[in-house]
Amino acid sequence: MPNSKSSDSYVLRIFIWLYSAGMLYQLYGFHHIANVLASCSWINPNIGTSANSLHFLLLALIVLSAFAENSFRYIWLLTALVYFVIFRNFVICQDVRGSTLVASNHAMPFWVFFTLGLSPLLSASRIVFLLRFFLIFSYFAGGIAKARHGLDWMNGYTLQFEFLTRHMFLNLPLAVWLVSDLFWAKVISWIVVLAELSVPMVLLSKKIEYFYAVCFFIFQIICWIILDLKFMSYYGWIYLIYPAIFLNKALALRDCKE
Amino acid sequence: MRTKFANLIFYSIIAIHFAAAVIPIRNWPLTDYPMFSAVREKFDSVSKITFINFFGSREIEWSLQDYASIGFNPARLQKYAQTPRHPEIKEFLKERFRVGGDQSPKPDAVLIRSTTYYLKQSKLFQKIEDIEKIPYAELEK
Repeated sequence: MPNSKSSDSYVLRIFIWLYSAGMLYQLYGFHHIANVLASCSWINPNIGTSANSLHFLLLALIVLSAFAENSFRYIWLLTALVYFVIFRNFVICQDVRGSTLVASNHAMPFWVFFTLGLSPLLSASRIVFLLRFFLIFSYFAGGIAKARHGLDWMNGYTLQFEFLTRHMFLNLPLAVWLVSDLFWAKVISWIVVLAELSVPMVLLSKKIEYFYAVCFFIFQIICWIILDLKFMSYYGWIYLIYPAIFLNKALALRDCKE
Repeated sequence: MRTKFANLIFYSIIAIHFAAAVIPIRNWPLTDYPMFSAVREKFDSVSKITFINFFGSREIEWSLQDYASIGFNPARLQKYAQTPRHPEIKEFLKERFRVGGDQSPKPDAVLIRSTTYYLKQSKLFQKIEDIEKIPYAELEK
């Protein structure tokens, strides 16, 4: 039976393959890049850099990073840098409302690429820990953001407002049905905030962590169905860390039996 | 030395995420993942502000997103966007044009479109649209 340190190396390897495939699929369909003005750049407005070239470079780097990581482990840092340049530099600045094109869900791949690039410095165990931390902590951070208003966020109106506003533009009858009663809107609000703020409980055991991960995943799927909220876009691929962990355990178990 | 550096990087990444959540920092890619975190008091809303005869015969429209995302005082604008009601929108417009100075273009009038949503038990929401026309001269008072 492999010890936990080498096991985490295998987990990381599996995750890298899965994540690279997921991000390639995600980024391949990034059609906004074609409309980005190359002159909109705080690096150098006259640089004339083609955003399409950077997009292609990013895709190539992800493929290269997945294959050539053992030869040049810092390549993931280069991938993170190109990803940062595309999203922070080009996409945000192209429109006065450009920040809406780059939401918090787009930030997750940057942190994943950046952390993978630290693998020469940090152990595989720490890398895997950070990946799990980014995912689980993002919900805790969301809970803090809501709780910052005291009890006001849970007044039911907030959820109704957000749901109705989305319904205005996207026609979401399920969303309206869900928050039509203020009492149930309040109940849902409290459940969401308490679940997010109770995230530190994952420190008690890994089973609790897995339970939370599954619950949050289901929560995001429900949001996707009811609200057409594609927060899992770009962000959701980090959930692959858990399939990587279970796949590694299954393979290790099979090797033991053999 | 290498171990110390590795520890520094490891704990710094964790610390910076905590800082982004607590402070909160929202400077991409550092974010506290707000996701619907703004508090809404009611679902009264100013959906559009229209400037009539602004820059000639054109009508310029500001949607809720427009006046929430631009302007001279982001903190105050954010407050207006979150709890938009007519008196505050008027104050916002006054300041917007006052800061612009005497030489800045002024519209003849401003239309404020309000949309109010109601929910009655499980009935679908109803909306009431109210349009208030304010001559610019009134804004200057």
